[in-house]
Amino acid sequence: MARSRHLLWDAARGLVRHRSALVGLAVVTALLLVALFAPLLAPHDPLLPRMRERLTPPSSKHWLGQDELGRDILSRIIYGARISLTIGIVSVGVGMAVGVPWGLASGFYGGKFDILTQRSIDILLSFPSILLAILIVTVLGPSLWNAMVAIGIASIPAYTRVVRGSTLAIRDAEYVQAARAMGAADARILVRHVLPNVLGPVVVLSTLYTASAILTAAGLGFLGLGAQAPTPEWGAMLSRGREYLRVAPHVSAFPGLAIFVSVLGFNLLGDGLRDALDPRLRGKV
Amino acid sequence: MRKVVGLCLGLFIVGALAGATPRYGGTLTIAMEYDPSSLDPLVMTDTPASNVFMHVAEALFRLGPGGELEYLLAKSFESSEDGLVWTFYLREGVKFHDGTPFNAEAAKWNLLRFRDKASFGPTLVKAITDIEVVDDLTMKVLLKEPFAPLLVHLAHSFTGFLSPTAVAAGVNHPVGTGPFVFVRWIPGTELVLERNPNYWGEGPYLDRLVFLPIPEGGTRVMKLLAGEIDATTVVPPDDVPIVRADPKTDVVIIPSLTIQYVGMNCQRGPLANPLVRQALNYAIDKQEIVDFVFGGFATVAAAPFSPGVFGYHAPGPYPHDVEKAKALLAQAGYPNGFKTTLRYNPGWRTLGAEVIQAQLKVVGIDVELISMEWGSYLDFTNRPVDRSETDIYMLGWSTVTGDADYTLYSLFHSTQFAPAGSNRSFYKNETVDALLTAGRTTPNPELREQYYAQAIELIWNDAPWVFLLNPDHRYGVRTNVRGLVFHPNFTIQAHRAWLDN
Repeated sequence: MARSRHLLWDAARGLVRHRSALVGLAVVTALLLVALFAPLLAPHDPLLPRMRERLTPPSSKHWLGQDELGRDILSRIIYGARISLTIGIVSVGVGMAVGVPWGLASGFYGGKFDILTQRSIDILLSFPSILLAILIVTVLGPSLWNAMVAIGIASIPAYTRVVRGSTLAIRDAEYVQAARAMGAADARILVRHVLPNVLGPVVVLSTLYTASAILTAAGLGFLGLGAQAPTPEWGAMLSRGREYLRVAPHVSAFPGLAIFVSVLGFNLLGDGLRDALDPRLRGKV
Repeated sequence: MRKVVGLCLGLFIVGALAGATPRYGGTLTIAMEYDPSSLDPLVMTDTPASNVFMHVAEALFRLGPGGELEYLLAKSFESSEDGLVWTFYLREGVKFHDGTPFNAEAAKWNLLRFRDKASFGPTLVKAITDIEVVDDLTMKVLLKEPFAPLLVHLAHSFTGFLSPTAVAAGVNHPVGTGPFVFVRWIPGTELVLERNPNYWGEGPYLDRLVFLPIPEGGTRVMKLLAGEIDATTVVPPDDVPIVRADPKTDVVIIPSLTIQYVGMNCQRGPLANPLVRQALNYAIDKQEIVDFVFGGFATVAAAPFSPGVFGYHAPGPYPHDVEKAKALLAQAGYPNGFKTTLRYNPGWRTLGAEVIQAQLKVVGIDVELISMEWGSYLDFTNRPVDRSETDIYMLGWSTVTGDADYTLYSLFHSTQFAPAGSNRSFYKNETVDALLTAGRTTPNPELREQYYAQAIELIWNDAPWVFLLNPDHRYGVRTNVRGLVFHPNFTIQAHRAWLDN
């Protein structure tokens, strides 16, 4: 465990020195807090329509204005943060849960299994991940959960490839050979010695993938394949507001801004983490 | 607003200036929400198909904008005393676009083929047992029992006649007798027709007629304002002021033959109880949907179809009464409401469904919204009753024949359960069945009106639908277009349209 504590420490130190990563961290933290305390922060009920006030521009009572049903856009964006974060966490979780063990096994055992894995990954990677996600949602049926699973599945190839690469570099390291010489079983070697050493890239990938998962989910929501009405999902809000661009641009502008800021936050954080965890850059940032 | 619209009924031919001489030439471009599903009368079912097809092929009659029967390929007709033999005298000297003469043989061949093979055959002309060709331009249509809506069904654009020679040769586009000739169709892009120089009637004045599929309302409006299209169906209500503000464009608003409804599965779950279905009718504030989803361009429905249709009788509307709804739910054994699903296809129904969801929440009914793509949505609601998973769904229906039979029989008669017919609520009431059968087999119009009034009262009370609203059509048009007919049946007719400078 000493190793992973060291890893975290390094990462933290690297991050602190990385200015844009700090901005990213601040955005992500803020997003987490907003999502966590949504019921306390939201000034209005995000689902309550006020038809008589529909499409009203920002006012002192409704800071970001009201949407096509007269619902408070600020409150919807605040609750939407929960959904976007859940999407990020669940889909990254799905991708990791399958991709990491698969990549470990593929890199560690090699041989025919590895070739088979790599060719299937090649096939999967040849589809843009949004296309793959659309395909999966079309088969499963449109819903928020299915969208999360689909985005998770679409991210499996990336995890597998990254983990396999790192595993290949480690599997013949002296400490792995030492462990094997001492009679450790494969499972023990993989979990105790290989896994901790591939976690760095996985953490970076996960941060970046959270950003892309939020974006993909917004895309699916935009196409009507993600969250169903009246869920305040940002992409769906953006899409619905599009019909009123000429008369009420604020309806789609603010959800768009929310997507932009949070995706940027995760990306900055991910970039910072990558630099912080990269041994070659250590001490230079 | 409504009063003005009502007074304008009959004035939907734009720019019908007295004394203006039509100018020949030019291309008129019309935007529709969707491409036709097909241009083959044997399989087509939708309005875009009807809109294009009616310019290429003609039936015996057509219904004018005020619902009056106009003669197309029939010149006159007479019927026997018992209503079982109808003699049609056909227009002489009419040729199909490929030169094949139109005559009684061609008409007989078309009608029997349509009866036996078309998806709309059973709905429209099933009553015909046989057709006798008397001479080149005379035919006798034989029925096994009187069929009151026969003439309006023969005015349905889907029964338009095709050249038998072209069909036999396997030509895969319509070859009719209409004022425009089919040129090409690139699905998703454009559908082009050009003038028929040998047309038997007045016009056409335009050289070309182009139909564009543009699903997005905002895009249609932009293109209309930019002059890229000359007319469009469905201007979004929020855009009406923008289109009206531009002196070069205008919005034509006319009452439609359409009802928008919220169907309920009468054979499944809590909705099988008529008290529950009545409760939903009281719980949903139709006026709010009219005002805010349709921008006021609609009327709350007071009957299962729109006013202006033969047989109209209005027991409604159901007032918006939350207390009454709650009391009915309690009486039905659901004092705390229940959970159910509402399926719909995107478009204005997204907004409508969300409003309905919020309104039903007030009386304790927890509605899960499920949005479905149009094709799979129709398939889902079209499953047979024993496999149906439909609870609540949203659809519309246009009484294009202007006769109550077209709506009541297809949607409420128990022999018309989906998938055989369009009764997707699986509504069954034996008294209603008997009245509707009597309504279509009785020639006497006064008697028919009485039957329909009784049937409508029963249907209203059984409430297989939440009777929502009758929308007004909102057509957009450039102001230099003359003689274009905007029809309550949701078609734009360019037969005699022309372009002014």
